[in-house]
Amino acid sequence: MNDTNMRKTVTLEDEGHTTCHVVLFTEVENAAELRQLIMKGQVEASLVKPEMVVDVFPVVVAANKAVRSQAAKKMVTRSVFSEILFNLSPTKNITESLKTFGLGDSDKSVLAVVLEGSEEAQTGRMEKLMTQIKGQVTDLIHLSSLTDEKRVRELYKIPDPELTVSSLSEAVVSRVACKEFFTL
Amino acid sequence: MIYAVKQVGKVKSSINFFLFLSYNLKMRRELVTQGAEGRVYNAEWLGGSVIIKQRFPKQYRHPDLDAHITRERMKAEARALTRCRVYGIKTPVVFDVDFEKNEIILENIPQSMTVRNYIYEAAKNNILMDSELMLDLAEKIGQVLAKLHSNHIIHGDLTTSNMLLVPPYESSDVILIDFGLSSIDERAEDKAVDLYVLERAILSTHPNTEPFVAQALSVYELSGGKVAKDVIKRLDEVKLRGRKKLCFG
Repeated sequence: MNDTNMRKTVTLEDEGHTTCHVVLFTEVENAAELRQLIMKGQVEASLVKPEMVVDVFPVVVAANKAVRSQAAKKMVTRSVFSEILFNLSPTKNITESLKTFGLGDSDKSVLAVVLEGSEEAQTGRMEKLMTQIKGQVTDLIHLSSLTDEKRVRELYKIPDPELTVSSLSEAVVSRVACKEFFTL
Repeated sequence: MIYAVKQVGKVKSSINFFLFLSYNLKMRRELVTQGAEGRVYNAEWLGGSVIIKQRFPKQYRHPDLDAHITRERMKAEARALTRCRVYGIKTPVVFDVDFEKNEIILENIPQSMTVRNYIYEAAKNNILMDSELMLDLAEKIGQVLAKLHSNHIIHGDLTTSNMLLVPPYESSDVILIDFGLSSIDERAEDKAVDLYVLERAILSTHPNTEPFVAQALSVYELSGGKVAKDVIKRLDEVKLRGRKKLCFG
């Protein structure tokens, strides 16, 4: 497995140097089952709908924010994994955020975000996830072909003038960064 | 959909201290400038090169008030930067706003040069301030400010140090930075003061720039519509009395 494309790994900026892995799964057969596992709290990862993601970077920024909120005990949602989905979403409505950005029953692809801290309980999470998701690990280069750009632009309200000075990824990142106090 | 995964977040305080120590030692930060409000660093962040603007507490203010003011200013700055981009005005991308550490993480614009240094370089090379090259730059400044004000964004600290150019500098767009004193206001008064501050800054930093300033202002007036005309009219009043409004009592 070529580590550079099959998996994106970034060290987050928290004091514990949490490692954040992003992996793309396609041809996923068991999305409905995975959702049941998520609701039972048995998936130690954030499963994002690739249609709503333009690039890995905004996801890593959302994960970094989630880990910070968790450390400061200021999370809005019940787990650091749902917090990532909430952070990615431009709305403050939790249910809507999880519905829009989280895995759906009939989805065929998944962008998984795995966090590994220094604590023992957090090791082996990636291996566990690999056994839970029945799908193909796919080169992250294919993420952009899964993105629904039109929907992303509508959801984040990204107008034409902005794209003359900004990439779609930058437009999304700035909204994730300013979520709590920025409205258009 | 409910994500109910048990929380893993209890850190023992003794371990915490050493982690904090190693974190600070490991941080790759290089001080760029230090001002009255905070420090600016060049740093590595999430695997990329960024600018970190850190605000530090003011000792003379009550801690609660200080925390509140810092928070509001950070929000105003990040908001203005992001809003500019929405309207097609070049500013650094905001990557993160960290209220725990009072830091704003911004895009690092490589090989950028301040307009201030660009004008100094030009002067060193005997380029006249009323040459086509310089008046072109003044025109670009006038245009970007007209766009800024037509969207009711007040920069608050317009100087040639807060404008960047990227290579090739001659054809670069003007990138606005440092929105630490920015606000949103529709009134001609605030926009006029914004321009007044810039005019004073340019004239006092760069010799023989009267034609340069005149060009920037006339382009501003031409490209900013009726709003800009009112601002220029107001600017004349501001010039007579200075930045502060006259008060009674």
